[in-house]
Amino acid sequence: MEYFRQQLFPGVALTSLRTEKFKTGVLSLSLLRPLSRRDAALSALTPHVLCQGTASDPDISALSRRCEEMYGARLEPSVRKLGEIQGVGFTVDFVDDAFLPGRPEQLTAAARLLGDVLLRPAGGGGGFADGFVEAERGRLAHAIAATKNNKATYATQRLLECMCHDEAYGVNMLGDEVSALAIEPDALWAHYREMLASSRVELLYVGPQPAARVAGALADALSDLPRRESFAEVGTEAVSRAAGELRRFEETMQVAQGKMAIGARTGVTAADADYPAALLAVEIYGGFPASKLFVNVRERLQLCYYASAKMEGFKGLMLVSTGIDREAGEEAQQEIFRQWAHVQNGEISAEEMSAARLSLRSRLRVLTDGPHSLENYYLGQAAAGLSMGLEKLADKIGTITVEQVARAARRATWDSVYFLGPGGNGPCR
Amino acid sequence: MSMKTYDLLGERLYTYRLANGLPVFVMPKPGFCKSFAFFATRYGSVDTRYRAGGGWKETPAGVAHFLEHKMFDLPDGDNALQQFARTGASPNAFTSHGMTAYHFESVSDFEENLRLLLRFVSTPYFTEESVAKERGIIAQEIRMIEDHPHSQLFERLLGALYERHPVRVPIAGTVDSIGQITAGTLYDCHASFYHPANMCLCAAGDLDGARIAAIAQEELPASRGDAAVSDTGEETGDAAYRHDVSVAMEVSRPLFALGFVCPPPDGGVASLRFELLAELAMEAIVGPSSPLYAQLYGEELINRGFAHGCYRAPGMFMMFCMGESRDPDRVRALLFEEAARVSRQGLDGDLFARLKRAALGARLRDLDHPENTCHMQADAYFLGCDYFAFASLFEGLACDMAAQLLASSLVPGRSALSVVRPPATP
Repeated sequence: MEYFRQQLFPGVALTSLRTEKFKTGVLSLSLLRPLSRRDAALSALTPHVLCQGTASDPDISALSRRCEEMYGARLEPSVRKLGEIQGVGFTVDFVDDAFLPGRPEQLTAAARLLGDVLLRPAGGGGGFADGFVEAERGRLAHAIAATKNNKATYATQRLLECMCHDEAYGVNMLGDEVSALAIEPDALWAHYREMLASSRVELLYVGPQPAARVAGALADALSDLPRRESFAEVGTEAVSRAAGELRRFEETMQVAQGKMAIGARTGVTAADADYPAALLAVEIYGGFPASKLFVNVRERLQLCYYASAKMEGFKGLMLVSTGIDREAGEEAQQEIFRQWAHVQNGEISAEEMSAARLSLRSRLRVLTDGPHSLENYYLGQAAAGLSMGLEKLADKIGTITVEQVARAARRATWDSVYFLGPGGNGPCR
Repeated sequence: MSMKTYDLLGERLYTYRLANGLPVFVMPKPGFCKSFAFFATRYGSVDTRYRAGGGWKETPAGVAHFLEHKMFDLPDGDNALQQFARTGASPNAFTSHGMTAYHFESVSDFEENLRLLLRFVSTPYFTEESVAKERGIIAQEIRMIEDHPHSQLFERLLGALYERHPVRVPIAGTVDSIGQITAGTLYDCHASFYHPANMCLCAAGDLDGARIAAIAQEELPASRGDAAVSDTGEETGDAAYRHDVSVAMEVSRPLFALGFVCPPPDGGVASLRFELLAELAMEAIVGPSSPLYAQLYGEELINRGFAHGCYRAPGMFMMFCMGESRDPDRVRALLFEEAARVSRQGLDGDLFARLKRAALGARLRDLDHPENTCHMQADAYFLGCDYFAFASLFEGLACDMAAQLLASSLVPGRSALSVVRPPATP
C-alpha cells in the first residue's frame, strides 16, 4: 500500500492510500469541528440535510438515481467522534473502473458527487430547500433516541456521558434531542456556511487509483470551497484522575439482562510513547477469547454472558462492557478490578503475553484488508495530527515486554461504574 | 480439481472434491494479509425433524445452535477457542435456519489453524456436566436476544408468516426446549449431520488450494456417512398464517417488519436467479429511487435505516421490508396500493435497467469481503450452484418478471406485519 498525504487547499488535506487489493474505491470528506454541546446537533444535522438533494439532483429520488447510474455507488452522510473532534461529512464508495463494462470514470464521478453534495445544495443558493431541515431534524432526534434500542451500546454511551459530563468528550456526537428539534432552517444555513469556510477538511481515498489522479479529481470538484485564513482549532484533552473514590451511576430499564459498563482513565493516548504497551495491556485484560476477563469472569466464574475491554486512544480511556444480572454485579465488579490489578502487577503468563500480542497484531493487520477500516483508521490519525501506520504499530506491539505492559497499565485509574437494569435507583445525575 | 475464471468479476474459483464427498472451494485474494476458512454443515435450526437410520427423529428446538456451542470443547479438556487464540487467529461460529458454520481469520499459521478447525468440528466430545453448564450460558444468550428489538421483530415476523414451518421457532430455541437437550441428543445430531458429504469447506486469501485440499483429506474421516433427511413440513407459501403481531419493548418508536411469503424456488441456480429477481423487485417498488420511497420518506413514515430484501431457508422464501415508523399500518397500506398499481401498469423499464446495474455493483463491492464470499459460496453450494454464477444471471432478468412477482406476492393474504412498539406511557 502506498501512502500519500498532501495539502489541496488551505486547511484541506488529502490522504491517499493506493492499493490494488480491492474492487471498491472509497472517498470520504470530513469537516473537523470541536465537539461541543452547543453545536453538536447542528453539525450532525448538516450532512443529513445535504444528502437530501443537490442543485442538479433536487430530491432524494434524483440523488439515488445518480448513485444507481454509477453502478450502485453508495453515498452516506457520516458523523464520527474522533476524541473531542466531531468529524462530519460524507463517504462515497463505488466499484472501480477496472471491473465495469466500458471502464467508466468512477473516481471523477464520485469526486463530483461529493463536491455537489457539499457545495451545491438543493434550494437555490440562499438557503436549504423547503422542508428538508424540518424533516431531517425530526429524524435526527429519533436517531438520538434510538440509541437505547441497543442496550450494550446505550450502556457504554451513558457511561461516557456520565463519566465525562464536564468534558467535551461527554457530548453525544449526534447532539441531544431537544437541541435537534429546535434547529431552524436559517440557523442551520448560517452554521453550514460557517462550517464550510472555517473547518479543517480531511479527505481520504482508498483504492487502486494513483494519488495524483485522486488529487486532480478532488481539486476540480472542490474548487468552489470557501476558505478563511485561519480555521477552527480542534483537539482532544486527555484527563488524568487521581485514584480515589469510584463514581457510581445507575439507570432503570425493563430488560431481561442487565448491562454494566466501567470506565478508567488510562493516562495514555495514541500520541504517547506508552500507547502500544497500553493497547497490549487492554488486549491481555479483555480484548480476545483468551483474555483475563473472558477466561475468568465469563468462563471460570460464569458471572456474566460477556465481558470485554477496549481502549479509546484519542481520549485515553479504557471501557469494560458486561452483560450481567444485578445479583452478580458486586462479585463481577470485584473480579474485574482484580484481573486488572494482575495486569498492573505484571502477573501475565508467557502464553497470555504471546497470545495477546498475536491477537492484537492480527487485528491491526486485518484492518488493512478492508477499504472502510483503512479509511476510518487513517482519518483518525489525520484528525489527531498523527501518522502512525498500521504496519508500524503492529511491529511495535511485537517488541513490548511484560514490564512495559505493567508500567503502562499502572498509569490507569478507575473512574466510574454504570449499571443499566431493572429496579435501579433512577437515572444518573 | 477444477478452476473456473469469472472475468467479469475478476475472480477465480478452485474446486476440489475429496474421496469422502467433501467439496473444497478456494478463492484467491492476492495481497490480502488475512486468510479465511469457513467450514459449514447443511444443518440449521429448522432441521429438528429428520430421518436417520431408518426412522424419524424429533429433537428439541435449539439443538443445532447448542451443538455449535459445544463443538469447541476438546476431549483433552481444552477448548478450541483458546487454541486458536495461541496463534492470534480469530475463530467464530454461527447457526442460521439452514446452516451451522465454523470459521476463522488469521494472518499467520493458516495451516495449523485449518487443521484445528477441521479437527474440532469433526470431533464430538460432550459430557452431561458440560451440557448442563452450557444450558446456563445459552439461557443467558436467549435472554439477551429477548432484549434485542430487531431480533424480536424478525423472529415474530417469521412466526406470523408460517404456521408449521420450523423457521417460526427462534434459532436458539427457548429456555424450556434447551432444558431437554442431553449429551446423547448432541451425539445423535452430530452423527447425522456432520459428515463430509453433508458439509463444505471454503477458503479465501493468498492461499495454495491443493495444500488446503490435502490437509482436509488428512484431517477428516475417510467415509462419506449417510446424510440425514430433514422434514420442514408442508407449507406452500401461498398464504400467511397471521397478518398482525405486535409486542411492547423498550424502544424509542415503533419498529416494523412487513413480510410476504412466496412459494420456495426449486433449488440450484434457479434459486439464485429467483433471489436476484426478488431483490430487484423489492428495490424497484420501494428502493430509494422509487416513487413510493419518495412518498414514504416525504410523509416522514420511514428514515434512512429503512431496508428491504428477501430471505430464504430450506422450504421457505419471503420478501420483506423493515424500519422505524410512526405509523407502520400506513406504510403497509401504501405498499399494497403501489403493488396494485404495478400489477396494473407494470414497472418502469429504465428504472429496472438502472437497478440491475446498481445491484451488480453492490455485489461486486461485497467481493472485497472474503468472509462474506465464503459464506455466500457455502450457501450457494447447499442450494446446488456456485455463487459467482450471479454475475451472468442478471441478463436474463426482465422487467415484467419483477412486476409479475410483485403482483402475485405483495398481496394482503400473503403478508404479515410485525411491530415492536414502545411501552404504553402510564
